[in-house]
Amino acid sequence: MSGLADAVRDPGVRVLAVLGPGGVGKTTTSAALGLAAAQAGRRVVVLTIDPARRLAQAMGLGSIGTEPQAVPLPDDAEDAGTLEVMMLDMRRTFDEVVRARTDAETAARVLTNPMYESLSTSLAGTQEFMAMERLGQVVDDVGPGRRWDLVVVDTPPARSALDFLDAPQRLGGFLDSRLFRLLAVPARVGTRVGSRVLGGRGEGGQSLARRVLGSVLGGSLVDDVAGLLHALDTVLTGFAERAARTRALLASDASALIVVTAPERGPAHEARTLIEQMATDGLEVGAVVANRVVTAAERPGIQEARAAVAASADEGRPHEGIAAAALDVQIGRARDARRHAQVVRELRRDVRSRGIPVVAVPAAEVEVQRLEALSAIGQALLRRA
Amino acid sequence: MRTRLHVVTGKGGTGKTTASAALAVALARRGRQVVAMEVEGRDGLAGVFGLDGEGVSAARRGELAVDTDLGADSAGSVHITAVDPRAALAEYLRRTVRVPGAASVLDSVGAVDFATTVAPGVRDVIVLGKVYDILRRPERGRGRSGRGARGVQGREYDDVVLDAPPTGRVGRFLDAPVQVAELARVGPIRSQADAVSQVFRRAGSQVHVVTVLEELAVQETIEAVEELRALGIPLGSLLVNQVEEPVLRATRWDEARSMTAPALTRECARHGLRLDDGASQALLDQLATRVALDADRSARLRRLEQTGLGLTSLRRVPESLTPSELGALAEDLRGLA
Repeated sequence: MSGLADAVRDPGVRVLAVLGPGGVGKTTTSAALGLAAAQAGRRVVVLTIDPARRLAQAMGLGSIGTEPQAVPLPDDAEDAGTLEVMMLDMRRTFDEVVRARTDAETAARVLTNPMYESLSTSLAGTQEFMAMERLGQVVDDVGPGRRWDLVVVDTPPARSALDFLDAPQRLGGFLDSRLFRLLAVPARVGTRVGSRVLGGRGEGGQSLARRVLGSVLGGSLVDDVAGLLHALDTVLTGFAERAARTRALLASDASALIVVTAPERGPAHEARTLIEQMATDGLEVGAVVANRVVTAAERPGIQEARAAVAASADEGRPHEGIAAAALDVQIGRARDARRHAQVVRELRRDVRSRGIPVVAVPAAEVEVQRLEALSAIGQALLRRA
Repeated sequence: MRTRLHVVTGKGGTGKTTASAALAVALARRGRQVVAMEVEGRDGLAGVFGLDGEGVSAARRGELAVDTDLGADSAGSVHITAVDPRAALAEYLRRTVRVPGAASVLDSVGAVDFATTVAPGVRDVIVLGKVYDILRRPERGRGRSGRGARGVQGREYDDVVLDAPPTGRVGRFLDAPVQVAELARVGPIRSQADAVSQVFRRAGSQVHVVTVLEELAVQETIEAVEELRALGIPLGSLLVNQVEEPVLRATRWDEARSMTAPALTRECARHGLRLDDGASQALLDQLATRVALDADRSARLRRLEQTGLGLTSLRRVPESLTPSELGALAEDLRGLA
């Protein structure tokens, strides 16, 4: 892939996944890519994680809900496609999976289990699992003759951006673990399973382990968890299978993985690490976006002029303070621009061997408040790296 | 004298770890024995103090004294430690389960995984338990080992600075003892939860929230303050990080907005800079953008003030921190020490 323009237009690409460290503008980038793809004629849905109200407003919406909502596109684009946007609701996604995959009685038992609330909302990694699940559901509606041509997925802010991509493996690992078997299998059939689980520790090993666990955590907690896991067994297994399929789709040519970073050393370092880890996992990065890059050349003689203003005794004179401020702003921007250019150069050099283009997106002059601003970011993203 | 606890939280990316390190240095400059703890497995504190490799490992194993400028006559010290929840839990299980061989049974079925990934709150209770153990050393050690002694139970500190989970999770983290106490009605974890829930009843314990003057961060900070208040957790200050002085005082913003390009051209010419009016207009446009940004930031600052909490500003420093910049941030936090 030579840049994002191909990924956005290529009918073979069904998923754009936007990854990267926190606070670099992943959500805005996702929305801008979605808009650019829609303007290029595709039917697009953007799945966001935690959209700011301003982004919703920029898209002409009061807020972004958990069901897809149509974004009104500018009239001038005649061959434009469509753009819809939705946000991830973790708890609701989990509830729906439970209801869809169990009978009514089991669903009721799960949803009222005292551990369910915390399992579905606060469990480490739940957000990643649920984002993966929701993406899996949406992807079923993406393709020729289906509702959409392309889904752009914004990923959760995680300790490591890799948490999202690793979620299926972690869940699969847990389901395969001895502990899950120990807890999810009812205790009375425990002896035979237990001896297998504990690798020949003998008859009754399982109930011993469970007793010990109970003595530390309190029997009630272990019983609640065991009850919940037992009821959720089919849900979690189906969930893990779907997650594994979605993960495989992300690793395929039908997906383009985009790493967003800020043009500063720390985030750029995180982005490099992420790209390396992804390569180890067999995931190819389609493009790196260096977001909000300041471009400003320092005007020759400006430093001297600023020094002259400072030296003149009369900063309170009308206009003089304003002139000083105008020069300060320009000098500061030029300094940012030099630093950003350096970081982008280094990033380009480091990922060149992997054939990954680095797209520099200029910093918007003001916060994105209108669709035109988002569209401008979209066009900048499509420019050749 | 009891050990005081300072919890530092904030939206991800606002500089929570840097602020924690600077607060530790500020306290040590007042002659206090300080330990800064982190719990998220990022080894961020070691990085702020310029350590890597061996330093990172040492901070994971225990409390590592760091070399930092505390001023010529300070008797204070800074240690850092990184709590690994998995290791802490394994240690806890070994200590608590007295049935012979039980610990290895728990290991073999993955009980550590259970508590760190499945049983919500248990992991947080264990991590807070490590904090609690350090806070209680002076009381338990009274009459047995002297102040600062490195006995069986470890060094005693005047202050613990906890680099806590970010605002999105901090309420759940700090409230975990209460949650776990509701779920686990009996057993050692329940007792641990009950003991740990005392952490915030100790005089002087408080939570500081780090923010920057960006919309999302300010919004999340205000929400976190409300959440922590509702949980009855005592709050300290809002630490406003990366503060950049407005380029002009607010009283001159209108003047900046109304200045014309020819006026700026003339003004620059007086100081030897030749610009055409087009170039002047470009400078004025940039200035107007910056003034608008300063105005937004100033409005956000007022919203933060409305929380009723004290505000402490930290200056903007480059992201790769030098020791003298860390010292400057500690200076900014002097009022909290």
